[in-house]
Amino acid sequence: MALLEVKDLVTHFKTDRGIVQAVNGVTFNLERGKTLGVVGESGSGKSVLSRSIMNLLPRRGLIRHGEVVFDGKVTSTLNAKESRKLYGPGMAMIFQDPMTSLNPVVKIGRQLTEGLTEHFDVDKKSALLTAEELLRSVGIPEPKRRLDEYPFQLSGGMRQRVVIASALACGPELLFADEPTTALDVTVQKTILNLLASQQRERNMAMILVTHDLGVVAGRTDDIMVMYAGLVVEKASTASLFANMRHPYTEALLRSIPKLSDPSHTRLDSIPGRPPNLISPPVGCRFAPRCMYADTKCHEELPPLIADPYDATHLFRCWKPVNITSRPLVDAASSMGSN
Amino acid sequence: MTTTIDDALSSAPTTLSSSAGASSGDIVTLAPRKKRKPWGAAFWLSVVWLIGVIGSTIVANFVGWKKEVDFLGAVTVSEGDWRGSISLAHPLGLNFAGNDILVNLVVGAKNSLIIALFTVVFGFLVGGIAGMVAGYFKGRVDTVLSFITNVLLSLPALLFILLLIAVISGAEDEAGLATGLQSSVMKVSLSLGILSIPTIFRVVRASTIQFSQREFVTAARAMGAKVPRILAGEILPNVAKPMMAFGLVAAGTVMVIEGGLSFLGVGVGAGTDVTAWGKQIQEASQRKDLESAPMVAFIPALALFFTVLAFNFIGDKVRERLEVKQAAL
Repeated sequence: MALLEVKDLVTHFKTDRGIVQAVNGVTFNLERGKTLGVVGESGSGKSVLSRSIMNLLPRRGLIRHGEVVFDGKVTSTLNAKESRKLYGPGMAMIFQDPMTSLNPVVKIGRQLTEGLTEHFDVDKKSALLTAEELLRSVGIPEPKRRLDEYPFQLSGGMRQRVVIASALACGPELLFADEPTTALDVTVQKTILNLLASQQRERNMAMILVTHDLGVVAGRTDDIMVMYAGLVVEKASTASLFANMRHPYTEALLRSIPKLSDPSHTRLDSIPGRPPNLISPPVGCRFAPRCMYADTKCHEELPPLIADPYDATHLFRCWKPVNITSRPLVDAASSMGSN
Repeated sequence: MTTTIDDALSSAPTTLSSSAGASSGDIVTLAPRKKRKPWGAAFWLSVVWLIGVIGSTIVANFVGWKKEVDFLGAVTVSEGDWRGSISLAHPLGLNFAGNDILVNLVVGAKNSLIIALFTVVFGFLVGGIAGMVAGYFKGRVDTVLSFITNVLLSLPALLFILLLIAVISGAEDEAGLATGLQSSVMKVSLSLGILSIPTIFRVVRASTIQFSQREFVTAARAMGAKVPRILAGEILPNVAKPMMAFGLVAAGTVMVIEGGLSFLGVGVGAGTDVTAWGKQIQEASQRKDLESAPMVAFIPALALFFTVLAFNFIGDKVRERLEVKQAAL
């Protein structure tokens, strides 16, 4: 049985201007020890999705249905008090910006031990020892001294390590990493991602890695889910997705990443237009207004999430999938097997 | 340095030497700047003044100085001759009732400070907790609490405080004994405390709203922290520091208002021997001899002035310091 099952999760917000349809019917399963990458532009609903699964969204004006099953228990219907027990040893989250997700006026030692003393019957002293051990495991030099310091005394990369340590403190079974490297230097990004990967392996933890950067998830995830305007537009194993991406949006995302093999001064491809308004999204395919392949049908009818005719686990939501005819399918399948 | 070839060619030796001078200047500016501005003389003078005032009133309390006892047994001065009453035994002279002004000041400081302290603490306990709850939960809780404080704010402050003091004093029962609070110091500080609730509520609420939207609060929730823990452990440390500056300035304001109440006849120790700075100013200024001996009223007024100024200076510096730290984040 999968550790996390999300069935047709819908998350909307009532606002003064109308209902924001942030997440529309997302379904996926995640096994223990596996990693799911959730990729999309800002405003695609990917951050709301992880907060919605964790019951972390403010309840006012929230419209939410669908089902979340974590470790065999339905968690989507839990109230605030019941979901508290879920956090820490169950689920934990790493936030995007370590500048804002650490309390600026609270010492690091206390921020790290808070989760421990909340969930386990430990005294302050042994919690601090655990915290020191955690800091050492995420590669912070002189961990004992750091416990007594404030977040502003650390660099951005060190701060994100502290955030990771505090998320790992209670040994979660499922870790959400919400753009864990977006606020960091490119040079630090890789070490942080490697750290997450090694911690995940050690703890056999499931992870949902949310990012806007396909480059971040490449090679680090088992499955990838691409989101656009609150909808899953493509979902496949990482190998299959990169080998034969079907959705024009996924293709466009990949093209907008600079490549070292390009000659210098190559103009970077960008996706024209802006993500749609989630209050009144386009009628047909949500990507149609920005899609270079779109025709009348795309503008009028929302495509369903269908399975690739050659690979039942590869799902996409498009009337005019790319790469279907241009690539010999046998090759793609064999290359997948070799990965 | 970034001296171009053109520069070097046009005026060779002089530019080189001057650019060398400039470069050493650059290095000086690149060196890590002194982290914080010094506290400054005004701040330290304020601290010394406050320590002096607080210290002397504590000592006086232990020594047992009392206003009504002229402890050195001096003769009462002829009215209006303040200057003539100054002696080694009475360095600040005697007042119109024949009491030593210095002793009066030191004894009165106690009540003035107690009122300032009690009012601010009471205001922050009630208004601050209500403000944090309203700011964190928002919604209906906030609507109700904000409505109550808005009603309190819309009442004329002066009438409201007269009413409060009357209510707190209570009516007389059949035996002719007052049923309410007896100590005038407590009466004044409780009423001023209640009066300060709406203002403190608003400041704390605004600050709490600002901080409860920060991600570290969501992070704490995602770790399973309970609401009291989030309020006390995550939001309070952030809110408390700016509030410290606000509280210090408020303490000064309270002392001034307390003085004003004496003039309305509802201040500290009206009709009794209990004294405070406000009462001393009021007593002295009610006399027609004020013209010949204005210092009798001015000395407690100056003490009040310097104390309020000290609170404001310290409050300002504290605020400045905290802003620097916020900016460093």
